[in-house]
Amino acid sequence: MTMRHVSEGVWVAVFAVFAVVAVGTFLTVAGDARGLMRLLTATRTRRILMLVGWMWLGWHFFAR
Amino acid sequence: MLYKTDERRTAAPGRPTRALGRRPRRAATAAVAVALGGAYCWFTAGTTPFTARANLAVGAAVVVAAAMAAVEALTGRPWPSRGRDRAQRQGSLWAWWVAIGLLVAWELFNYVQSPRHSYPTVSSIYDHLARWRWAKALVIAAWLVLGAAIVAAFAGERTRPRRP
Repeated sequence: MTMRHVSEGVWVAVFAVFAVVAVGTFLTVAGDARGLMRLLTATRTRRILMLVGWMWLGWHFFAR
Repeated sequence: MLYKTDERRTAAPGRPTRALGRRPRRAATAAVAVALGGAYCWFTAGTTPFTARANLAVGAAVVVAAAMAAVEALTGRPWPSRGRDRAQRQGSLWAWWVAIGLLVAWELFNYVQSPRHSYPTVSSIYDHLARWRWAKALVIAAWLVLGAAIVAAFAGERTRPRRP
């Protein structure tokens, strides 16, 4: 087993945690993805930072 | 329940019946948005990074999002309709912070290691996935959904109560 296999295995686990949290919080009364989004965009500064971050993300992944 | 609610709306004397035409219009708007978004995702997924087409495709989305955010901030009208029941839910977010913390920690660990082949980051995993156009289109669709949620939040500039 190489280090790449270990790393990929951990990545799969991390993405699985995200999936469990997303589904779990959606099905229960706990804070769901919308609650997280409300928190992350609660102020004008946060909204602008999130928008700029989103722009950078798209540029980094799809254009550069 | 739904039938009774609709019936009450239509039966109430002197009450505007605007709600009757809203649902089909919303559905049509959503269908057009999904079709346009899907076409955009498929087109952008077909572009190659570091080319003019890729720059143009991503740049167009960035400019449109900035314009929509500005309009939302000025008018206070969210582009997507908001659900009343779920939108008000705000429970504990600790599970999200744990997931985000795990992702950031593992990304940073891999980022400072080398070679990249043995320590893949999110970017290198994406590069691997992007060889398939449909997979890249799905990632672009997720990016668009996230952008729509951020842009919609700009409506809060006017609609949220301000502190005295």
